Amino acid sequence: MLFRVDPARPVPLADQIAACVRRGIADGTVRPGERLPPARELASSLDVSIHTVLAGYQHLRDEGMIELRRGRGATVREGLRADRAAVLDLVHDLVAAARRIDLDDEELVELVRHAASGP
Amino acid sequence: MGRTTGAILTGAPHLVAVLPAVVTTLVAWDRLPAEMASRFAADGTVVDTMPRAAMLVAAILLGVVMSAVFAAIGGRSPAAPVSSVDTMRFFGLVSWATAGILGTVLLSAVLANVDAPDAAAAELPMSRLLVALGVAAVAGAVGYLVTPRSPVAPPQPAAEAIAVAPGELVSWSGRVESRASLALGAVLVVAGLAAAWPAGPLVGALLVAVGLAVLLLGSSALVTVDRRGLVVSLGVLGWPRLRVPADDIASVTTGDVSPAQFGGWGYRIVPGGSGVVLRRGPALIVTRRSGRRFTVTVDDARTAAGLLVGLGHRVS
Repeated sequence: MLFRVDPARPVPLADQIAACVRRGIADGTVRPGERLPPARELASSLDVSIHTVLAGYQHLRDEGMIELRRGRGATVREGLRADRAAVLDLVHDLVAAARRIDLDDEELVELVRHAASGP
Repeated sequence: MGRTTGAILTGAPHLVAVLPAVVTTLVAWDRLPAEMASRFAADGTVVDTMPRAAMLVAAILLGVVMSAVFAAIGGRSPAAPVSSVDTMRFFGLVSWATAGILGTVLLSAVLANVDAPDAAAAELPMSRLLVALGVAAVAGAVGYLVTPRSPVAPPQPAAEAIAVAPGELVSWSGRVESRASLALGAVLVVAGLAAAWPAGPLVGALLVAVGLAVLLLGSSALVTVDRRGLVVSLGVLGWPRLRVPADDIASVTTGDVSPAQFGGWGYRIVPGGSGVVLRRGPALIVTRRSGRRFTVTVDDARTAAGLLVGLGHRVS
């Protein structure tokens, strides 16, 4: 799978790394059960700190996209649906767009809740 | 030139090669000692013996097994070129040359036994090995000439560069796994454990060691493309690693390849190229500045190729 991140962008590198995996799962290039590159390898390959990669992988684990196990590394969760990854990707885009216009986080959540409760 | 013809051209020489020894054994059956000399020392004296019938069966088996191995390499469909040298013709040469050695050595061994009162009286001078090498050289040349040029698959459109912005950090990685290696490794380990009893602990330990090596090194590979170039980390341990530095890459293509082009699976070296070939199918093929090619079979090779091309264009 392809990782591309840019330190010049305002988004933290760890989030950019997580976004690459999310998009990979969403567009089908990364399949459930697949192993992500070991954090150490990816860090030296991208020329970033291993902590940055691990932080990115932890975001993905917290979102339920991957499993992190000692010794086995990071694997995409079995049974994970590509469209779930696509929705999560949209969520992150939404948050980023809201922050660009300085929309309050509380306000954004309220807007989403309102949209979800609508018809 | 069909696949069958290819398979016959590389496979048949060994069958033909053992014929003189087999025919001689049958014709001269009564003039051969019941226990025949089968191994000779450098000075030509007998080291080991074998019953006449076993010698015959061994010769036939050698011919059949070697034929099958080389026929599997010979019969193949169009594939992307993985070397500046036509590997199909190279294996034609290897097949005919080994057949030449096999046939000459077997026939010499049988002839050494003819009319010998017993095995110990047989003698095989070292000079016969030179004869065998001469036969191998001639047979190899013939093998090269009679083997048709490899069918080449229509070239894939050149990899489209993935644009990489200055300052952007990129890394592509793909994992390739080989079920054949997993199965082979497991079979070798089990065979080693089973053989330890009848064949002795040394044979058993050797089989287990080879089996474990196949499992650890040959079952998977991690392919990485980044600013440094191409890196292939072998096996579960990710070591050893094969690298092609970015500034050593002259051009990049992708294409379907087959293990037969390399004479088998695993890390292979052929004239004009090398490769990590764990399965047949899509592969990333890079040509070094020296003209030598390096091939690695991996899914989504086109993205990997595109990134390598893109990284080459980047002004940094």
